[in-house]
Amino acid sequence: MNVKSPPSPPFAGFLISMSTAAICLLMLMPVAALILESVASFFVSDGEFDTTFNDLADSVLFNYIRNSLSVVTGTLIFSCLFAIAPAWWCSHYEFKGRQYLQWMMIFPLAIPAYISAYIYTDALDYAGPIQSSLRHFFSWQSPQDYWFFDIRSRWGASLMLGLALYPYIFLLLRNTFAQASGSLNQAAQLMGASKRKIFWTINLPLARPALAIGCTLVAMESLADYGTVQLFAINTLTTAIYDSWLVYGSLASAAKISCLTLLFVISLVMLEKNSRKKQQHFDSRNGKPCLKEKASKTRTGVIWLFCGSIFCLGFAIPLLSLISYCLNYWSENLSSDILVHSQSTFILATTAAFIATLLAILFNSQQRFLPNKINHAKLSLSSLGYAIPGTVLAIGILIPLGQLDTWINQAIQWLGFEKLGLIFSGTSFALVLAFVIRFSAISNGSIQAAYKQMPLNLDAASTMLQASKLTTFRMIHLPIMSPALISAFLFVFIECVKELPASLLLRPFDFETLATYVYQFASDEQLEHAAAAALLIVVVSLLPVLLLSRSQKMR
Amino acid sequence: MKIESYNLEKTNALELFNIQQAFDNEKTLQSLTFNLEEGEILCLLGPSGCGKTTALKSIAGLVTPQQGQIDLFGQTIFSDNTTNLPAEQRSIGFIFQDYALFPHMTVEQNIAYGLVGLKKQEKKQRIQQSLKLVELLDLQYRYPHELSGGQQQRIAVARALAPKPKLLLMDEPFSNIDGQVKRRMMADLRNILKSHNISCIFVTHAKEEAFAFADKTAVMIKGRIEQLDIPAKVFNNPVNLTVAEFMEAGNLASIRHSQQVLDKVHHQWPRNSDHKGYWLFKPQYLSLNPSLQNTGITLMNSSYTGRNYQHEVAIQMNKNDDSSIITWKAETENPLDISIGTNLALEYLAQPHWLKN
Repeated sequence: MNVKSPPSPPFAGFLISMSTAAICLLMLMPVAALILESVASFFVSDGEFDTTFNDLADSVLFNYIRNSLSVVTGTLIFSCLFAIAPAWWCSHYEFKGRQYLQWMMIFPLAIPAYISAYIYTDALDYAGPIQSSLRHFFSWQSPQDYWFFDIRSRWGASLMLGLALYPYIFLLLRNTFAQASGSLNQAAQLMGASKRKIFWTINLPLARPALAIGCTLVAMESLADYGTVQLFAINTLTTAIYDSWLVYGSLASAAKISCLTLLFVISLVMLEKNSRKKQQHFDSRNGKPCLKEKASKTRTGVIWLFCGSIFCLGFAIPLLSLISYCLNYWSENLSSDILVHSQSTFILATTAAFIATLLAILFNSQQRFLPNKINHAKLSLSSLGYAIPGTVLAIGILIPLGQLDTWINQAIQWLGFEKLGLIFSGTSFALVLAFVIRFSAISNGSIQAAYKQMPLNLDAASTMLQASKLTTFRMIHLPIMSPALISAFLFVFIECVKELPASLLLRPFDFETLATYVYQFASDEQLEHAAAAALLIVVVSLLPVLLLSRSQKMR
Repeated sequence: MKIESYNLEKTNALELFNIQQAFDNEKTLQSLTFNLEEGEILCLLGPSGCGKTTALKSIAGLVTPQQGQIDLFGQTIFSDNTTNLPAEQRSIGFIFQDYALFPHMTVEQNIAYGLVGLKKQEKKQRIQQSLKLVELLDLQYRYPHELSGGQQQRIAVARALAPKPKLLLMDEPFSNIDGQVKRRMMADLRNILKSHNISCIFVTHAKEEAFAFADKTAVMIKGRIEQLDIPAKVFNNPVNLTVAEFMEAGNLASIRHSQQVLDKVHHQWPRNSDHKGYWLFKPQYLSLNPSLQNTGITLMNSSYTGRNYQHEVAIQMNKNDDSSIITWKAETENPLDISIGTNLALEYLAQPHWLKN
C-alpha cells in the first residue's frame, strides 16, 4: 500500500470561495458606482446641482442617441453585407485558393477601425489623391461640380467599423454553415427546391442564432467605439461620456450617460439571449456535413473579386498605407517615444493579462471542482465586464477610485502628513483594473473551453489514484490546458495593447500606451508620424488572428 | 435483505447495506444490499439508467449515497452521515468506460501517477510488473493516442492495479472493444484477476459480458437488485418477470393467456396454479411439427444465428381475431424443412418455469 497524499484542507476551499466572492464584488464595482453616482446626483442640494446632464438632455442628447443607433445600424448592415455571402461561399463551395481566402477574410480584425478611418479619410477627402485625380481628369473646379461620398459621416463611420468588425459574423456563420447537416440540403433538393431557395429557406434560418450572436458582438463593439466616431466628429454616447468628464468635468453627468449606454448594452444582450433560446431547436449539426460543391470558373471569379475587394479594403490598403507612411516619414517614426510607449504598453498589458489569466484559472477550476450555482454565478459575473464599453467602464472605475484617493488623502492630512495625490485613480493601477475587468471574459472563455474538452473522468481517475485536488490540478489540469493558458494570456495581452477608450480616460498624466499614442497623432491628422507604432499594433493584433485560424482548423 | 455468500470460508471483500441514492427526487439506488467475497468477480447487469454506474461510484466514493453502509475488508468506508472516507483514501482501483488515461503522460507516467511515496527504484519495478502483467512491456514510452483501443484498456488495467488496490471497479470496460479482441481481453483480464485474487465489480448492460467474465451476476432494474446469482442460474431460472424480460430468457405466457395459449402446447403443465404470474417457455425446448389441422399456430420466419436456427411462430389465441395473435420464439439445431406460413403443432419438451408477477 502506498503513502496517501493529504486531501485538500477544508479551509483552503473556504479561502478560495471567499476570495472569488470578493473579486466578483470588485468586478461589479464599476457598474454599482455608476448607478450610485447617477442616483446620488438627484439628491444633492440645489446649490450644488450639476446641470450638465440636464443641459445635454435638453439640447443634444437625443442627437447623440440617434447618432449612436445610426452608427450601430449602419455597422450591422455593412458587416452582414461583407460577411454572409463570403461565409456561405467558403463553407459551401470548393474553389481554387479557398483555404487562403477564408484566412484572409479574418485579417481585417487586426486593423483598428480608427486607423482605417484615418487612412481612408486621407485618401477620400477633398484634398486627397482620389478626388484630386478625378477633378484633374474631368476638369472639375469645385465641390459643386460633382458628388462624392463623404467619408466623414455616419455612413462613413459605419463603413469603417463594418470593415473592421465583419470577421466576427463571418467566423460564426462560416462554422455554422460548415457544420450543418448535409442531409437537410439533400432532402430539400429532392423536394425540388433550387439552390437559392435552399439557402434562403434552410441554411440561413438555421444559422440565425449564430448570426444573432455575431450581430450582437458587432453592435456592442460599434456602440463602444470612440476612436472612429471622434475622428469623424460624430457625437455619440461614448463621445458624450468622454466630453462630460474631460471637457465639462462632470462625473455625475458622465455616469448618467454611461448608465444610458449600459441600458442599450443590456437590451442587446437580452436580444441575443432570446435568440439563443432557440439554438437547441435550430441545432442542425446532426449527421454528416454536406460535401463542398465545386464552384464554376465564373463563380470562383465572382467570389475572389468580392472577397478580395473586402480583404483589400479592410486589410491590404490600410497595411500598405502604414508601410508607405513609415517609409516616407522614417525619420519621424524613429523617435525614441515609440520605444518608451511600447515598453510601458508591454508592462501594462503583461500585468493585466497575467492577472486576468490567473483569475480565469481560479474561477474555472473552482467551478470544475465544486460545480454549483454560486460558483457558476461567480464565473458569469467575472465575465460581465466584456459587455461594458471601455468609456463606461473607465467612468465606473474613476468614481470609486477617485473617492478612495480623496479619503486616503484626507486621512493622511488629518494625521499631519502631506497629501499623497492620486494613488489609485491617477496611476496605472486604474488602467490595469479596467483591462482585467474588461478582458477577463476572454481569458475565462479560453480556459472554460479547455475544461469543457477535458473529460470529467480524468479528475475521477486521478482521485481514484489517491491524488488530492491540488495534485489533480497541478498534474492533470495545468499540463492539459497549458495551450489554453497561453492563448488566454495572449488574447488578453493583445486586447490590452489595442484598447483605446478606457486608456484615453484612465491613463496617468504624461503616460501613453501605443494605442493612445497612435490615436493622438491620428486626431491631430499626423498619423504618418506614428505609423511605426500603428504597424506594431497591427502586427501584434495579427497574432490572435493567426491563432484563431489555426484553432478553427479551416479545411 | 442480505444475500448469503456461496463459500463461507472466504472473507468478505465488500459489503453494502441498504444503500440509497436519489437525484431530483428520483430514486437511483433503492436499498442496495449485497456482498462480494475476496477474489470474486461480480457483474452489475442492467439496462441504461438503472443506477449501476451510480452504485459503482458510490462504492468508489465519487458519489455520496444518502443512506446506508459500505464496508471494505471489514473497515467501514461509508456510513450515513458518520463516516465518509474520501475516494482517494479508499484504496480502490477504477477503470472507466473511456479508460481516462491522462493524454499528456506516457504509459509509464500514467502508471506511476498513483504510485505516490515509493522510492524511484521501487516505483520503476512496480511499473515493470504492471506492464508485464498486461503484456505491454515495450509500450511504456508511448502516449495513449499512440495505442489501440485494446492496448489502452490494458494500460488502464495496469494503472488501476499498480497501487495494489483492495478492490477493482470497472465501468463498462469492454464497451469500446469489438468482437474477437473483446473476447480475448475478457479472458486475459479474468486470468489476471483470478491469479492475483483481486476482487472486482464491473457494470455492463451486455449479458454476454456478464456470462463470460463474472462469477456472480446481479441484475439491477430501476436502482434495485432483482436477482443475484451465478450467471447460468440468472439466465435459466429468473426469479421474476422483470429479470426474465431483461435477460430475454424465453417466451412468456400470462395466466390470462394460458388457457388459450397453453392448450395449444402439448404439455402437461400445472394448470391449477392460483398465483398471479407467468409461465416461461425456453425457445430451445419448443418442438415444431407440421400439422394438417388448423391449429392457429403458423411459422412466420426462420433465420440462422451462427450457432442454431431461430424461428418465429404466430399463435392465434381466438379464432377470427387477428389482434389476439402473439409471437413466440423457438430454436432448433438443424434447419426446419417447413415453409413459411405452414400450420404447426407445438410441443414443449421440458417443465416450464413459473415466474412471480
